[in-house]
Amino acid sequence: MKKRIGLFFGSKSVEHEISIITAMQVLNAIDKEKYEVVPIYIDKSGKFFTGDYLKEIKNFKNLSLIPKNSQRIINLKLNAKNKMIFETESIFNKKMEIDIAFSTIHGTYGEDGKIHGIFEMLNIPYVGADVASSALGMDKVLMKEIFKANDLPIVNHLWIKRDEWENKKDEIIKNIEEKIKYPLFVKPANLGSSIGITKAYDRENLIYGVEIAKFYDRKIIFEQSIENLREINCSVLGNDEPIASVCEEVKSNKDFLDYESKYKSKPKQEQILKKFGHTIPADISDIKTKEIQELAIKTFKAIDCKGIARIDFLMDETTEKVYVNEINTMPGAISFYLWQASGISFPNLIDNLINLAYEIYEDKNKNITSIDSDVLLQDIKEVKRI
Amino acid sequence: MFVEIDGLKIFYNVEGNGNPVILLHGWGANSDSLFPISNYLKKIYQTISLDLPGFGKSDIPLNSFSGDDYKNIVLNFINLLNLKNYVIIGHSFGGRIAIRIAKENPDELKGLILIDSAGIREKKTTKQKISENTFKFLKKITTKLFKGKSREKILDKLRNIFGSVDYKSQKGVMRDTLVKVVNEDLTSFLKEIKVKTLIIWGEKDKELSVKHAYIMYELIQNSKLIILKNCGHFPYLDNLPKVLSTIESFLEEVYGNI
Repeated sequence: MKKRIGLFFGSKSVEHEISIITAMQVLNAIDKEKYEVVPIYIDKSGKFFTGDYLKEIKNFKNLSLIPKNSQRIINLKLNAKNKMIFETESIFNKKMEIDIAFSTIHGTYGEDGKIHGIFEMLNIPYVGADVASSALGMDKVLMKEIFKANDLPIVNHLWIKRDEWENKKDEIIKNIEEKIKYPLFVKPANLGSSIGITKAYDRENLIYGVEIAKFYDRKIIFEQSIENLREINCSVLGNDEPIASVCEEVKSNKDFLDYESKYKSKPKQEQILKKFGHTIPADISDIKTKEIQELAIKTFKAIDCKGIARIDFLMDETTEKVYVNEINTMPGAISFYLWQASGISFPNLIDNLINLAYEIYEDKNKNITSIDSDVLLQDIKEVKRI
Repeated sequence: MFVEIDGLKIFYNVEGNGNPVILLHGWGANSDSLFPISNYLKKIYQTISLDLPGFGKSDIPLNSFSGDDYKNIVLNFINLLNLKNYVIIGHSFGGRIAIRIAKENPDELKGLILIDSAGIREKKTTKQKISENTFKFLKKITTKLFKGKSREKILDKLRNIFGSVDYKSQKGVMRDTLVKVVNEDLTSFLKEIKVKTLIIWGEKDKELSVKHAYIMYELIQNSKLIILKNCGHFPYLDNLPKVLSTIESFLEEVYGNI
């Protein structure tokens, strides 16, 4: 029998549209002999929808037509066979079952572990990183703390809360200028992609950068910029014994890839890769490749990631020193192009992810989650209130 | 790279440095098919992938080949390249050749990895029997009713309807080779294999049932069996991390003792 995959995408995220693209790529690539896909689209306000209308990218050109042409999901629950069921708003109250969840949500309310919390509570298998690793991969501040604790090479950085900025602006600026040299990056802590990021060459830019970043998140991070930068990415696949893909080099015309250059005006993956100068495999020595692949696996393990991730590195062209920039637990296009170059086609990559999801699910259900305890039977009077 | 063995041009690819690992591909495939495995192993080992005769860029044999012919070609290839302390990985049809080599217990063979390997002849299912009998019956009628070109045309059509996917995709010498090879049963060879063996199998393999895995595990003295859930005939495409970590620790074990 075909496995029924619930494909979750969209959501309350600035990367909403990118998520739609990734979901449609998965829908096109997935082996239809093995799987049946149920699309579950979460709109920008957080409403859930399903229906065949959501299987074609052209139908997302006008998002306002979606409620009319698809069914609103009003209830998510479990049936007796431990399968997730959706109840829709339609007159027939159609019930849909899924065996496994696959979220291609990028950014907030998805890649940050929030949707994974639903899957965990309902105890159904799901693809990719779990709650904790997703959350760590999304919060740049926490991510860097973990990287530091695992001796992973990272660039100098500092972070603040936006309230602190309002009250102690001068002190913060002084502190930043002491510890990090210009140019530096100002980033919201919780965003994927390059949204809300400013490269600051001086104090004026720095202030401007914070004014932008504070709209997106309550935590703002400042990072040393590497001049003579080469950007190298590597994907990692697996659970406890993961493997690394070939490396790619990303070349951008601008100082860094902002949202526009990263995602807009490029409808096809091949065009994207060509236009933005992705070199696969990256033109670096075998030794450097091995070093980056090993660092990628170490990074993946540091946040106890599952399934797949793409780890982005910064390399100083002159010294060839490599820094871990970030880990993406739901990389754009699921990094399929890196695995294609490693001998795994996109449909096979999806097979791998589904099998890895089941591996985790079965392993997790071996855990003891309840113990017989008579603590509640004890005399309640003994509990002192203070 | 090409090398000539027994009058046949054989294409092969060598990558990496270290102990040699030879990869033998399945029927209808070529040296690229095991790329996800060789691409990973080449970091630590020397990987040697070849196109078996009749596949990829290698020459097609002049006359149909038997499993023994394939074994001889591969052994000659190994000798010509002067490979020492090697391990063979065989997938499906490639496993069939690997079993034949391992049965001879060459001194330099240090380990054997069989992935969803052919070699055990299975009893035909009722469905296969019905299909075969129907084919034979229709063939008889056709031969009686038609002559010359139209007879051949119809027979060809029938072969295409009733033949297996592998059979249909081949022509001439390779069709005969396939018929010859699939009818060879290597069950009795398994007991004679002494080398350390790792058997990897996709639980849901529809080409070669997981039952074969248990038989091989039972009969090969020094063997280890790993069955991969939810995986089919190509477990290294369905769960690459698991297959690679299994192979990696097996190779460490093999080469750790040398």
